[in-house]
Amino acid sequence: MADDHTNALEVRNVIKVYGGPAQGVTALDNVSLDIRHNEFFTLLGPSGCGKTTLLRLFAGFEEVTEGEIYLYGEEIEDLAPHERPVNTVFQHYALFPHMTVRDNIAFGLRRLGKPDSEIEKTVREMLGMVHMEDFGDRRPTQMSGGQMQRVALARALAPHPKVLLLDEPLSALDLKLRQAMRDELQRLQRETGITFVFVTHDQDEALSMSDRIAVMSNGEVQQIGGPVDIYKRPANRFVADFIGDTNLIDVSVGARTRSSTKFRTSGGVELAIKQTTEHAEGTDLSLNVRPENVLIAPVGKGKTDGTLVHKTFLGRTSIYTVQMKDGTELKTRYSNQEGRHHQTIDIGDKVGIDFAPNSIAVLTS
Amino acid sequence: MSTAFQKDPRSRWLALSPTYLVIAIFMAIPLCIMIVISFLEQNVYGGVHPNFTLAAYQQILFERDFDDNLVFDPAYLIIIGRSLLLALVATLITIVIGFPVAYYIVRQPERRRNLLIFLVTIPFWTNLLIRTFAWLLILGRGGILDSPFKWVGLFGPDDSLGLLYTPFAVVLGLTYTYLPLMVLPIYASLEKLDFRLVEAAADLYSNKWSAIRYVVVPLTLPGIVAGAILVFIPCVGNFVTVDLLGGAKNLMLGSLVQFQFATARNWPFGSAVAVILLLFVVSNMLFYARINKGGSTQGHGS
Repeated sequence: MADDHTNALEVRNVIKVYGGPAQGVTALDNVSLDIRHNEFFTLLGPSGCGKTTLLRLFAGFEEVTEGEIYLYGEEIEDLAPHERPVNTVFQHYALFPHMTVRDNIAFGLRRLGKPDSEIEKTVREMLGMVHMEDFGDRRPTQMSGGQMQRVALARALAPHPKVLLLDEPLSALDLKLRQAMRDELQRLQRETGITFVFVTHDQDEALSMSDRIAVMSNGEVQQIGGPVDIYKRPANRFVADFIGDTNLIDVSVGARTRSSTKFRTSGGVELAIKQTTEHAEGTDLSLNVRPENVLIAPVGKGKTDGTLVHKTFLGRTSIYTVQMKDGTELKTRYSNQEGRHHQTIDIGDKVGIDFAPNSIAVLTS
Repeated sequence: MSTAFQKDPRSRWLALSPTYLVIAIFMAIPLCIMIVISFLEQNVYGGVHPNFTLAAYQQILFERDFDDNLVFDPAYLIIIGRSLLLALVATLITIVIGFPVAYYIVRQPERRRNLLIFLVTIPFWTNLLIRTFAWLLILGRGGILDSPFKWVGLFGPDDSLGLLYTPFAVVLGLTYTYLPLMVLPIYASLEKLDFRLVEAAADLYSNKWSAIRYVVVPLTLPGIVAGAILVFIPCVGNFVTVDLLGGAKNLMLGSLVQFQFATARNWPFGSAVAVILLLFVVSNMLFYARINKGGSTQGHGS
């Protein structure tokens, strides 16, 4: 196939409007992105953000209103679905109920006119790959959700598409199965070397499986980057808020020194952070601090003082909510490893609030 | 809902008794009378003599010549064959027209769909005889189809396309009459079809035709078969359309039965022909039941 530097998919200024030009609904607003060869790429966003629309444009089920889509350099946005060498794993599997598992998997290969011997060989390989060897003669209606999901994967992978599109394929499965299927999908991607484009609204899924993630909202791409990048350095408030738990503190820039900056919250609390900023004094910003980076300190020893107002036990960790003097609440997450001191603090106790070094991201939008 | 009935078979019988009564009075008893009559002797003044004979069934295949010998006479077999053939052709045409119509309707937005289905059933609101007479005016000598040829001077005053009183006219009339009976069951099964499967087929390299052939048709087969039976059976037994549009040359089974009772006063023979027709219908239904059973084990029975 192509070398590693080729882009599997290139999206250029794609606009998708549903309905007439007058009262149409814009699903995608000037989206451009590149998906690299052989990567696990995830489109992540809340429902209605346009991620599924984009996937359907890749598959050919919808037509672009404007813009171009290239598949390994070839312009595809005007091709019919059956003319595109991509396959889809559908959210509700969409297996053919009148065919056996074997015939389902062979369907694409048959339409492509492959010789019978090759079809039989590929079907056997695919059944093995998804661990469904004994299910070849069953019908999809006699199987569980997880089994149908595996068949759907095998069916979509059998014609060896250039790109595999996955439309929230795990959302119909229960939690345990969903987690097992995450590993399974990563394994399949590595084994087949096929570029995966995965659509989900579940940030855990996105963070755990993807090489790169595009976070979408309101028909626009908010940020593209690796999971760590997106988690630690969100581009804006939306990304920070959507990915993981976070604390967003509205502040304005105060006095600055060479190594630190004072930020003042709208309620008048001053936070002196050992971090420089290029923003001028008086600029309104948001500080993004993940709960695991908010630390409870003895009174007077932190950046500011506050009161513990809420405790939530979650098993492995607990979430403590502390309130600063101006009323702003910050969430902090602590491991429940035995022997940790903060297990003894109670609601109403005065505490100091500190932040882990270099853990604060400054967001302008 | 019906668990109480299922637990006590007696109360279930009781609850269903009006149905059984209706079936007995209006179906089983007349059917028995018909079968009995088919084995009795003809009374030339109408009615029958109560003597057992197979003469009626004999008459379907044989004829008595001047010396009172039985000789094979294919006349009625030809009528039966013609009936089956014309009914089959009409059924196939209704499938070919009805399937795309139903497919088109089911792909419309819901409100439009209901309107279109209503329009499909509109012909039922007018008397069949009147609608068939309309075809007489269209096909007949000097009818609507002939007139353009007259205007441009291709035809003399007495010329005609000669469409009326042909097998073509019969098939046309039958197709026209029973098309809604094909559209409705196909529509019903298409409506239950998950069109995401068609999308999946397209994704797996099917063009429109192979998606229809390998996914849509197999999954809506129960509807197509139901429609075929609903059309085929009345086509075989039809006599109004056949008489009006086919004339005397294109006698079919339905007309034959009607003729035996109304004109020839040969009740046993009319009944025997009706029994043959019935056997044919029943075997058709059994065939349908088998196909439908196969369909439902695949999880999408009609």
